[in-house]
Amino acid sequence: MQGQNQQQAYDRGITIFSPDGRLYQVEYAREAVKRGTASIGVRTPEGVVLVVDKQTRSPLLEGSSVEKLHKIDDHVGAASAGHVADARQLVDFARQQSQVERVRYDEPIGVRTLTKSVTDHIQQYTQVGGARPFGVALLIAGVEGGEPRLFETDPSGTSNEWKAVAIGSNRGDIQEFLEDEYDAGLSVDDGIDLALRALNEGREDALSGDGVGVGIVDADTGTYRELAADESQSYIDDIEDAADDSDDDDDEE
Amino acid sequence: MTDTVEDVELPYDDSASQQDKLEALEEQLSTLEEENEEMRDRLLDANAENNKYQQKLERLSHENKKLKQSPLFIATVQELTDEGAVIKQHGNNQEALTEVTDELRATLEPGSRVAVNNSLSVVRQLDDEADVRARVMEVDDSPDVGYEDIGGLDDQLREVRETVELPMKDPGLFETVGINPPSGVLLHGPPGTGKTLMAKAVASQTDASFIKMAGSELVHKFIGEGAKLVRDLFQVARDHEPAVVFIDEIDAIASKRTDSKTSGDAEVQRTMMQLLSEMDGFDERGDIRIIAATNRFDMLDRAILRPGRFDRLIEVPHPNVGGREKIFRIHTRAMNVADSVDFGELAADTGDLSGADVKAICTEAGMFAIRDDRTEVRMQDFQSAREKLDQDSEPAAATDVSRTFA
Repeated sequence: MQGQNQQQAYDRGITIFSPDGRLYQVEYAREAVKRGTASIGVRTPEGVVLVVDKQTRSPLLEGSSVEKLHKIDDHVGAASAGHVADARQLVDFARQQSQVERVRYDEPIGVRTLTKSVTDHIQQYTQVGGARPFGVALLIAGVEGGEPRLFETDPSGTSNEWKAVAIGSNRGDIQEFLEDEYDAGLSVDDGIDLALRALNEGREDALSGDGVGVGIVDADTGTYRELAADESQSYIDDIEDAADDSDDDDDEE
Repeated sequence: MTDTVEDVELPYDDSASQQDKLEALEEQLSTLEEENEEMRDRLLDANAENNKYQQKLERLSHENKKLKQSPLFIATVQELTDEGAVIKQHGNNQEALTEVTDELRATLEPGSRVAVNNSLSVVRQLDDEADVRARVMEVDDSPDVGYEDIGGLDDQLREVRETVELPMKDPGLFETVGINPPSGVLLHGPPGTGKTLMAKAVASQTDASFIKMAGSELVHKFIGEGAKLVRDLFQVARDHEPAVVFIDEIDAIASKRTDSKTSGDAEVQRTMMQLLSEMDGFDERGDIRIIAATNRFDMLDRAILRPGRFDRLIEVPHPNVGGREKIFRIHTRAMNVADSVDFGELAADTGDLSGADVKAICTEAGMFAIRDDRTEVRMQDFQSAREKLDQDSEPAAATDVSRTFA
């Protein structure tokens, strides 16, 4: 195919720019992110919601062993999409950083500070020869000074703060859905509801409590926790009921 | 003649009278004279015959010599000057100044094709014909496909017919409204959805000359040959107005231009540029409609997609349920199908399949019936065929890949 020949020479080395200023290996790493299932983050005034798709390939697989949601510190959680093993490395790094902060300053690490140190780490793998970039993106959610914060990291080492964001497969559709439906005044429950509906968008099979993971960082308590499968299921049921109701309304009209 | 013949048998008896002897001799003389005359005639005939054979011999030996001679070269006349003609040989592109007989000179003009011998003198003028390869692309025998053989693509077919048929049937309509008829349609869509089939139907249903070719035929080894073929192709089309040119798999030559330095790519691109200028360039295109088909729409160069070249970009999608049912009916027309076969159900059951897939199911179903030693194809056969095809097309399990990602 045309166009590939010239590209090939520049995607061999991670440290080599193409003539139009692109780092092909980093762009390929983003493709690895798209291979992962979707992870969604929604920030509300009451806290940050992380929802991940952890649909299992086999009914015999233990759902709890699918690593999509990670607790970083008491007040910080993360959702990943892409290369699982790479995600673990970054999560370990982030945990270490937050512990270093506690030992050094005796205070919980700021979410922005944590994100920056993680992305600095990621960035090194785009500038040093002999290595490859991280094939994973993270959503880092936490509370900083009572304020909920939501950051996204990218294989290039860029970080952005978001009100609501999706990473992983089908990202475009989900992000579009979030942009249409997001409201700044959502409660945490509304946030979970919104994220689950976004995840449901463009999925063929129905959501189930086992198939999703929900993590919440509560602004009041400043703690991160993950919902159990039956809790998630009740949120899903609520959505389905609401959908049925609106269907019924349609029928009546 | 003083030949004397001894011992001549005289036609009389010695005893006869003088008078009788004389008469007999006279009689003999006249017979001999007659014979002589006859012999002379035969001699003449033989001479003539001899001449004829002599000539034939000469002709044959001449021909024999000619056959042994080296063939003539083809060249194009570049220029006619007082000193002779400047010719350029085909192939090696060598130019030469050469002599031309006055007789030939009168008929020659710059651009004529001529045959030259070993010493490069012009032997004779050749027909100024377009490339043979372009000429053979004209379709004389219409394919045996009608519009009724196309299932489901009603909108697409209507658009194609509007572009191709309407301007020929009713050119006044366009004049009255004051628009130029659309000149080209590009059919694009996944494989097996009937793009070429539509073109075939158009070919058999219109009276216009139909010229078909595959994009890959335009790719040639030598620089300029592909472009020449494109030029000749449109020349052939112009000579046979109104005409429809169908280019199948146009992505072979019309893919996006890049900065690639490979000379092969560059040549393909030059061929495309010739196509661009033929389609909507400086020269009037004439009454020629163009249909092209591709399944790599994303690869096409933007220049070829602009209005004026392809006015209509028609997507040919996978058929919907109704379309599939129609396609089932079309492909089973000649089949001995049991009454119990429900095409509606089959169509509903075969989501995401293309027209070609449906055809494959019908063929497979027939095979199942044959294997079962039946001549009637039943619903069960169709279902088995569908399952078989499903298995064939199932992608390799991606579980190992997904294991790495979450």
